[in-house]
Amino acid sequence: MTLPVVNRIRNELADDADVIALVDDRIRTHEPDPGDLKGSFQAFIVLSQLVAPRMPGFRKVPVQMARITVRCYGVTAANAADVWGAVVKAVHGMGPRIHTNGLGIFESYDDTGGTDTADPDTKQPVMTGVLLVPATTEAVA
Amino acid sequence: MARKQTFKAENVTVELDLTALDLFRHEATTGLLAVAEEALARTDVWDQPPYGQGLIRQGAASGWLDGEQVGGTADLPTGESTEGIVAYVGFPFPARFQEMGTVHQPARPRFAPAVLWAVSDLGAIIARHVRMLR
Repeated sequence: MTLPVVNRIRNELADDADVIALVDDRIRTHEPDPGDLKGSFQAFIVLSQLVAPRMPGFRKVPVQMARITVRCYGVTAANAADVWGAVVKAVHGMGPRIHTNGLGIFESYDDTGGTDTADPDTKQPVMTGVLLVPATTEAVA
Repeated sequence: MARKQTFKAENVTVELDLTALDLFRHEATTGLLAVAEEALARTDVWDQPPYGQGLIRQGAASGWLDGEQVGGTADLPTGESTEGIVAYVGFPFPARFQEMGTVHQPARPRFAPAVLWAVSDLGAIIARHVRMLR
């Protein structure tokens, strides 16, 4: 079984003080919680795994090159940019670590930078980007 | 006409015929465009007919060599460079919302996996287009 990366990145963001200060516990995987969309705009983060191919050229090596899309919703465009900045600060260039479930992350990167846009359904400001996270596919000690 | 480049030292003049290099670069650009078109072909496009009437029908790719378009039909993305050997591939608006999701729909990544799959074959695809490598 290949260990998913997106859940661990979610946990890392949930442990970061700067991220929590902006979005509290509203860090979601796959799609927003219904409560995130009630009333006026509030800041939250949605993570989705775009793709996680095995290491190019070395398919039998137990390494996955996960790409995680991050959507940072904000109250304003500036707030969305602040959320994105906190996410990048939390994960970009962070070195080797092993999670409690054994997933090993070699290093994580901001792969695209942030793109400033608005959600087409609600017009809420959102900054989107993609993280590159080389990680193990199996548990390591 | 052959493109030449001349180098001069004290008692030596070297004239380099760049014809072969220009041909190699042109063929490499064609090969890179083929990689981009492979990514398009491998993408399972959202709302493909006859299953839906969505806005996204087809993507496009283009290849550029030193500022000149070598092939393909895609417009140049705003702000992007065409210097060197470059290929662009993508789908028009609103494909990014299908790919990355919105507040009311989850991400449905289909383009990114196709691109990475095509790029994993990059060497083999380009080699088919470059005579020097056959």
